Amino acid sequence: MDTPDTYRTDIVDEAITFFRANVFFRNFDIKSSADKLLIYLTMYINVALKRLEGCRTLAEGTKAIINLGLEKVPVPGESGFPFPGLFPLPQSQQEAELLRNYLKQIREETSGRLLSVAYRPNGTPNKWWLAFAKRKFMNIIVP
Amino acid sequence: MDPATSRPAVVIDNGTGYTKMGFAGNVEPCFIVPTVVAVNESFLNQSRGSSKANWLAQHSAGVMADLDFFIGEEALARSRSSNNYNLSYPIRHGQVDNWDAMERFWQQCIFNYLRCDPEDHYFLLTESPLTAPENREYTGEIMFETFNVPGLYIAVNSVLALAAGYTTSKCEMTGVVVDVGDGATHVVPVADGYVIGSSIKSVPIAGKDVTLFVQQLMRERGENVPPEDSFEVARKVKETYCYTCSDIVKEFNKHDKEPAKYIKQWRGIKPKTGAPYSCDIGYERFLGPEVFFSPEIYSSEFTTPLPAVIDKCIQSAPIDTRRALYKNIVLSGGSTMFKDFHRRLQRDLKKIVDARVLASEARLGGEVKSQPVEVNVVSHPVQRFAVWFGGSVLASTPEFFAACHTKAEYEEYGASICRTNPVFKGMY
Repeated sequence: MDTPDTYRTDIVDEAITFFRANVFFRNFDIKSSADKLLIYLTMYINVALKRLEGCRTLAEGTKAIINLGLEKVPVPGESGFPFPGLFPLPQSQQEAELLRNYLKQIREETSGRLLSVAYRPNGTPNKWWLAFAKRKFMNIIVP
Repeated sequence: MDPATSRPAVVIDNGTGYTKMGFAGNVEPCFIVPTVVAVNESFLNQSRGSSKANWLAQHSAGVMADLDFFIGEEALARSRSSNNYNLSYPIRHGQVDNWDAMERFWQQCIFNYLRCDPEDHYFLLTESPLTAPENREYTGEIMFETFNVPGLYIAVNSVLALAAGYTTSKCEMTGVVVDVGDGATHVVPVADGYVIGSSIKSVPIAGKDVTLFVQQLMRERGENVPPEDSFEVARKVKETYCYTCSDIVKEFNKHDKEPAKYIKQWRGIKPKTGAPYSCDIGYERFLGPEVFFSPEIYSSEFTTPLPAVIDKCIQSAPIDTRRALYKNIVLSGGSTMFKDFHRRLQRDLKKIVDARVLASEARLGGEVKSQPVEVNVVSHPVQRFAVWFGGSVLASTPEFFAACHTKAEYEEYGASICRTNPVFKGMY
């Protein structure tokens, strides 16, 4: 990631802010590797929202997200990774694991911040966010 | 002298969504009604199983079926309250689809709404620029044979929209008409009153798609709207609350910060049970009109934004007309009524044009400076029925009666007199 820590908003915030607009689009003009990560995070937020659908309280939602975090995170080149050709394939097993850990970490961070917007402070679901669970980002069938 | 020429002509603009009708010389149409016919089909079903013996019953059932129909709001109300009436939309995507229903529709327009005798008035009807000559023939046939009109003029709706500016500014008959109706969107360049037929561009996204998108968004959010009513509610939400925004990400944040200001309430009554319900209206307010500027959010087949289509249209027009065309882009049709629609269109189009000018200057190495291209999207007060208004203006001029096809001509030569339209020079 090439976003320096000095910026007040980082890529996770950006992904969440732009999610509701980006989720509608199919074609992206990819200018840098940050854009690729943004696409990945948008897909992940979409997946996470699908899990939150039907969770009526913040506690239930948190549980669903923890369960999602326990699942195996696919990296480019493995089955289940949704964007063929978007990312370069890892050259070695070691590199793949490194990438997997990185993706896991950023997914965890995104989940935490997503929960704080998808649920109101009193723990009830925010329909202005959860409505977007029904959208299929770039027509990806999410498992 | 034909006495009908001293009476005002009847102007009827049949659109996919709404029909605007009235008399020439007025500033507003007398009626704006949905283009829909409700036909009672229960008579037909009754007679189907019966034997030859009661042919009289069959015959009168047929007659009744021919007489028992409603149009406009009445038709919608009838179909809602009874199961006997079936709705039929005579116009689809700007073209007449069901001539039988269209004839019935005109009949009620003339006798029940305008309440005039068609033999006493000249008629001005409109058609989309892409209408086939055969369809014009059918229209002529119905008008002269069924209604016995003394004279008929079939005008191209985009030319009329340009003519609507006739009284508001100086007479400018060169421009691009962006006609966004309910069922069709056309971008039509007009030079000196003549349509540049080869440069007409169509966009398969129109008002109905905005309604469908609003409906989809409300359904996804699980708003409490009865399913049988959801399309109508979406249409009313679109007409009342939708607006054009400059940037959708900023707009999402605005809604989050001030929900009280941006989120509206919709109250309705369930048609079946009569129980009241209410629901929230939020992001669809700006996402609906956004389908014109970023069509990929709605459709996967068509992804060219409307400003890019207009630019392509002007670029394909003869080179000596282009500057004049950019200078006068006229909006018409109900779906251009969204707040700030013209501002957004002008901004996006200007961006495309400026980028091209910059690129060409860079290619020339900065030696030659080109004159900046003026881009002007005109919105005028009668935009919603600009086509009708233009028709009203044209039909109140004395030249109008001379340009009409007359009953005598029809009887002499037949329906083929309607085939050609003088605004397409040298076509057909």
